[in-house]
Amino acid sequence: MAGDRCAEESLVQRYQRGVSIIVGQAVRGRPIADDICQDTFRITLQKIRQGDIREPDRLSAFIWSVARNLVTDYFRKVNAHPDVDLDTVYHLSDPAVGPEEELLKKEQAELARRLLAEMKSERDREVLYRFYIAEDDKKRICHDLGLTSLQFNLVLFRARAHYRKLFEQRAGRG
Amino acid sequence: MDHSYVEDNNVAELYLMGKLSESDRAGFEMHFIDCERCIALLDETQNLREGLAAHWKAGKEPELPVRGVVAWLGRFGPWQQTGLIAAAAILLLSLPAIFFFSEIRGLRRELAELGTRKNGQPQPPSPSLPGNQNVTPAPPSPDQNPARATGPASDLAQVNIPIFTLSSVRSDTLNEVKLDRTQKRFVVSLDIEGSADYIRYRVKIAAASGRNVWQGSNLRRNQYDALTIGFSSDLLKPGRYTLELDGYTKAGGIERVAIYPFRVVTTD
Repeated sequence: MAGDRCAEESLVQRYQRGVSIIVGQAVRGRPIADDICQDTFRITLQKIRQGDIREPDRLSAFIWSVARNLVTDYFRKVNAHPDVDLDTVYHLSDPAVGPEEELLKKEQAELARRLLAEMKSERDREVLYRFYIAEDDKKRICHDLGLTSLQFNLVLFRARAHYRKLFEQRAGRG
Repeated sequence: MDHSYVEDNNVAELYLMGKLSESDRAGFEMHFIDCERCIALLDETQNLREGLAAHWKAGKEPELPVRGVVAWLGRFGPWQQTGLIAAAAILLLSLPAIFFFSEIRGLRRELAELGTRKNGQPQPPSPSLPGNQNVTPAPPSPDQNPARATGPASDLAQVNIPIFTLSSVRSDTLNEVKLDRTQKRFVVSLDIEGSADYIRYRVKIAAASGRNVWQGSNLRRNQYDALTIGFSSDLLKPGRYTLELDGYTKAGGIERVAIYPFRVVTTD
């Protein structure tokens, strides 16, 4: 695998989304996320080229550990220099929320409005609000609304599927 | 981590909300990093959450019916409500007093036992030993393997205690702890070289289910820049665990130093 550019590209493609979710979740939307993702793959590919990763079935765990350690290092630096905004240092020209993002938010809100309007049950709407927005405990919601865990999961499953459908329809029109 | 577990327990939702325990989060991340199905689930969930948040942020949040304690209290008049709240407050305030009282009683009992031992008075026979069997540790006979000795003597000494050196997730190896059930104890050694900035450490061991198995804080590294901890072999059942090492900084903060995932297997 060492030196094979095509294989390296497919490795990045395969793990990119997963690494991006892990890092994005850890740094909570800070602009540093892209740099950490890039560094994760840089270090991983370097190790592979050096022949340090001999067992392919441990590759996922290795990439995860590299990403996690980079996140830990980042927060260590932030804690060591609380007076310096590292995000600004790394991204001097990082823009604030732009018009494109504003538009996306409006579209998302409109899709959610349609989803909620098409839901027949007031109870199901309450499940979505309390679980996703108010972040209430599932057990408490189930207890209050007289739902079983399975019924609760079904509400979420249907909502996700319906939202995805609306999202795809909008993308198809766009 | 299998998909039915992820879906039944809303693992993706809880992950995005940051509500998973450290070990569950690590386990789920190591799974979905290479799982298209879970990544699609996470994306769908995140899209829906963002959409709902944008919608409810733009408009008025829904008025939810009042439930639980507040609704129950609503059935009573203002004076009755005040009385009920006062009774609950008294009950809550008296709980710590009951707790401390029982703690003090336990400590007094332990102190009395220690005093009895110190004065050289005979100890009562152990309930696990028949009759008046002598509980004073005796040296093992030459043909007796001390590591397999039974009775109180084996509590004082154990030969060839297994020592396991764990590697952090920085390396690409999964640690394996092979426990011999005939050995009562084992030792875990953590190499913490390179993290000497910390004055003390905290160690937490959690099972794959997220259950906290053991925790120790204010631990100091030894002269070899390692942390060695002895455990009873009964502490860990076969399965996967995560050992989390945190460091206390000089400034008074606490930081994650390393994570050591390991698997326990037993040999009889």
